[in-house]
Amino acid sequence: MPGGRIQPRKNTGRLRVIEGQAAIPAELVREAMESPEALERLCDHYVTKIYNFILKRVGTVQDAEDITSIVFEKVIVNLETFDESRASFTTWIYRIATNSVTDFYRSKGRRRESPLEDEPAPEAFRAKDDLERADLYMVLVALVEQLSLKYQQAVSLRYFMGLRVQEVAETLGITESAASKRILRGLDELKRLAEGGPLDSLL
Amino acid sequence: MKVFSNRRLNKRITVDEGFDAEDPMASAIRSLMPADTEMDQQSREHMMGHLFSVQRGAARKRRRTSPQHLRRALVPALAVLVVLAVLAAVMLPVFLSGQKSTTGSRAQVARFLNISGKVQVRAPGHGWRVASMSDQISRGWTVRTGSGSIASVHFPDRSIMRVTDGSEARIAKLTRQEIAIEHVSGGTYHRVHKGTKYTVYDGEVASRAMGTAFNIENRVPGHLEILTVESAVEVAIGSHEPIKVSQGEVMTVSMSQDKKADKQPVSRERLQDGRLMANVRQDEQAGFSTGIYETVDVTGTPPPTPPGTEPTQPPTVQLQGEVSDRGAILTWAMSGVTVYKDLVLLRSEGAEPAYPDNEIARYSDTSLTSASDNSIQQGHTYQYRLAALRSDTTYVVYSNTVIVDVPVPDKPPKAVSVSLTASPVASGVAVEWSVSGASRFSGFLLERVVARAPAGSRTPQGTTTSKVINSGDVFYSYVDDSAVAGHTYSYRVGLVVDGAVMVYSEWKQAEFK
Repeated sequence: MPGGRIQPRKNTGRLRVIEGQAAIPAELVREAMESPEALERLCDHYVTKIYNFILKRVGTVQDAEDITSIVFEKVIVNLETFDESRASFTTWIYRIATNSVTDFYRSKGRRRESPLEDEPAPEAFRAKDDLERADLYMVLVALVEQLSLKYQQAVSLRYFMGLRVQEVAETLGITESAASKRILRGLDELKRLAEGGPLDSLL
Repeated sequence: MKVFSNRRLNKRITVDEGFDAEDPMASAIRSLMPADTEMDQQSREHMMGHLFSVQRGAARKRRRTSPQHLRRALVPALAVLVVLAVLAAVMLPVFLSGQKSTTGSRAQVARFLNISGKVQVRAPGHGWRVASMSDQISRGWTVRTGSGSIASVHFPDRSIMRVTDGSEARIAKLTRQEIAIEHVSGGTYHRVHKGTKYTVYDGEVASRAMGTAFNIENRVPGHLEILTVESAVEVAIGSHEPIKVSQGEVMTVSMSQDKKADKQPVSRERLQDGRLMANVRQDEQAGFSTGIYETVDVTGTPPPTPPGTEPTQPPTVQLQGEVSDRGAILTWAMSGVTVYKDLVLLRSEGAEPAYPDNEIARYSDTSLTSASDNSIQQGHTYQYRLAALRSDTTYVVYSNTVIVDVPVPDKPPKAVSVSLTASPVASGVAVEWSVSGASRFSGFLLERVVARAPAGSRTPQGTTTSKVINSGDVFYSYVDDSAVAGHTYSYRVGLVVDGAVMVYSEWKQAEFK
């Protein structure tokens, strides 16, 4: 390498506070296989994060509640196969949540039961946000759905779940560098899809 | 000096968290992202109940398939069993009462708001038992009431169903946004929360409402009545276009093989029905709008009797009224041999009209049998009575009271259309049609053309027949029993207005094998 030194990078970006979560003790995860109390503590720790991620992805409370239930059901049924040496429990549950949302859209795509005009405004917006923003959000969700699966998952984990690059990488089982590239390519693809549409005004 | 291996150094390359800070799409997504929210407490409790059940099942499965695990778990299992026993004691009533949660479609629950008299419930897979205020009513539950009894069911969306005496209704679907009721028998009153897709089924008849109050009864065998107290209900018969039943209207559907539906303004007598009034009073006490009851004073006492009148005499004048383009058309018929001096037309809004205060027209020609009132206004409800003044006394003979509701025309006015279906049945071809956008017509012209016929048929291809049906029903069912096996027929029906066909349905074919 010319010069032989790595220069410290100038921090030109804004300081972002990333909310962290205390690590879940491994014993609690094991106990949750049998103990209702442990299961409840485990759910308490993750339910809000998982539920909000799903709600933001699917838009309706009913679906979000159903999918959240499915996520925790999968956790219980597969707890025995969870290997903490391969991934943290947090990474594991995020992966289950991501896959469950993917499954939801796949089955929805197969059924095609509700026409687009019947889609309700996202309930997450109803109390505080204006309808125009809700409309734009629904456009965004629809565009994310159009991304290829690998970009969809990377973008979702980063912005809908609010994960750090390292967590995105761990959840997807790739390096941080690959995760950041995937996110950026996903964003580029979204920009291309958004061209000439309502989201253009924000870009 | 410590030497690091290249492999270890290359294992993790940290990416700056701000790598996407300048990306406009990333900024756009972040700006649109809604704030986090908490999961509904009740939903969360249901989910946990379901998860505990899954946990128990998974634990049992593990123990069955892993003897080693079973041995290891013997000691802690005792403690777990105690916990499970406590949990089971808590959860048992829930499961016994049918609160089974299924993956992906966890049930919402409704509760009783009021139970009066003999009320029973039946959960799926269970028998009838006495209802309790603590019951958590979910999908598949049936509620029935005995004589003189009533039960009010309060749904999570705040919609209310009142099962009146001698009635039965089943909850066919119960989610946050959708409720479906199977009306089994008797009468049910529904106060629907705005935003909920709420449907009441009775056989092939589906009554759908959003933010309204309506009553459904099938106390008369073979007849289903849908009465809209507030706003509007869309009634769909089979696969036909829904027919709108507006506030103050009542639709009666004949449930026999030859289905017919009749829609007209609800009569004062029907509004005075005790069961209906009881429901409306409860709505009123709860602060709800009472729709048609706010425009028609059905609870009020009759106006003070003017001196010299004879209010107790039963009416010998029968009055009928309807709205047309020319205003309110009133027709009447006299019975008996009484000679009248004058006929006085009375009109009011609110209280029942009385002579002489509400006189709007006087006719000295007592042979008249009709009159029109062209001073009515859209969106108003008028009450008419005819007062007959007898020549031999000063007494007044009143007709019955007619309520005329002048609707506000829809914007834009809906085009008149007739939808028709034709399908083979055992005795011929069942032809059904419904009328949308018109309520005043004299009948139908049903036309049939032989589309295909076997060689040597007495009715070869192209043979045309027609039938005139005099009916004002908005839904009509007719079985063509003259259909011959092996033939295919095309049918269409024309809506007859003032002696001419106003609009035809599309042709529909049916093969009678």
